[in-house]
Amino acid sequence: MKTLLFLCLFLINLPAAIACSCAELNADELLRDRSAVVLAIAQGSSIVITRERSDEDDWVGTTGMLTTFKVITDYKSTGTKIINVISNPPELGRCGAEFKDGEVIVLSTIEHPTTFEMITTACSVSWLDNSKTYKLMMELDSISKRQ
Amino acid sequence: MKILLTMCLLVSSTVSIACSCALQTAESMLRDADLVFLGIAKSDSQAFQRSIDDDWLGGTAMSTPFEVIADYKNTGFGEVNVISPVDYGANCGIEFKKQDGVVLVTASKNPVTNEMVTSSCSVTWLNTPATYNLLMELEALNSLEE
Repeated sequence: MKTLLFLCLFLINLPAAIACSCAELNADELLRDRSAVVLAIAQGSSIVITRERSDEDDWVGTTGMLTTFKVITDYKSTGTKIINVISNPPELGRCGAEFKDGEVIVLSTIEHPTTFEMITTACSVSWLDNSKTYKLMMELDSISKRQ
Repeated sequence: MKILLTMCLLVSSTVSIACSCALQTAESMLRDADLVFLGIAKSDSQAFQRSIDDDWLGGTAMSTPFEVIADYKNTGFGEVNVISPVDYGANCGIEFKKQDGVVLVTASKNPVTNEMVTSSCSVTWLNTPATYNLLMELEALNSLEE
């Protein structure tokens, strides 16, 4: 049941085609629906890993990407300064996401129900290189401080 | 005694070589600078020859185009070009790279050339909670002024 719910939360944004089409991120929804929401900076670029505890039925699959982030500010629930996040390799479709060293990102994740990994997708992140992401960051700050 | 004197000179020369910066607050940034923005370098800084060379920048300086993410004071455009001294260490020069990430920049207008000039003391990278808090203060002060 947990796995089904997990898959539903993430597959909801997945398109039929390989290209990834994402709904616009909303601060209220992120804080309500995601396990963790942070502003973070990538500590090195994403690396390809083999997830030993996973099988191909898992949404990410055995081949994933691992990225280490330093948390700049915690909007929801990480409670730690460094986080390791798993994503799909972008070339495999399925809204994979790859990060480069030094990129600053509004990052939301779901906790994997059995492996407890922090999982993200291209539809769950927003790069802080535009005013739209800046406004999202301000909304997250405002709402999280009220809660 | 000679060794002691030499050591003292070395210490003082190290201090003079390093660029020492005063702590900036959101209030001082908005009060003292002509331009305050959060941005990202669109390309690496490029050296160029200036039309004058008798000010502190000298005849050669660095030019960097920035994409403005948030305008706290006076950019008014989606893109702004900022001038900085070539980085020799002691002169508080700075050179930016496209992959440097998100940076909070303050700049002052050169009254003669109208160039927007920054230095290593006038920029802070968004990679720590302290810089994040500074952004929040800038945003709050801007909201109060509107």
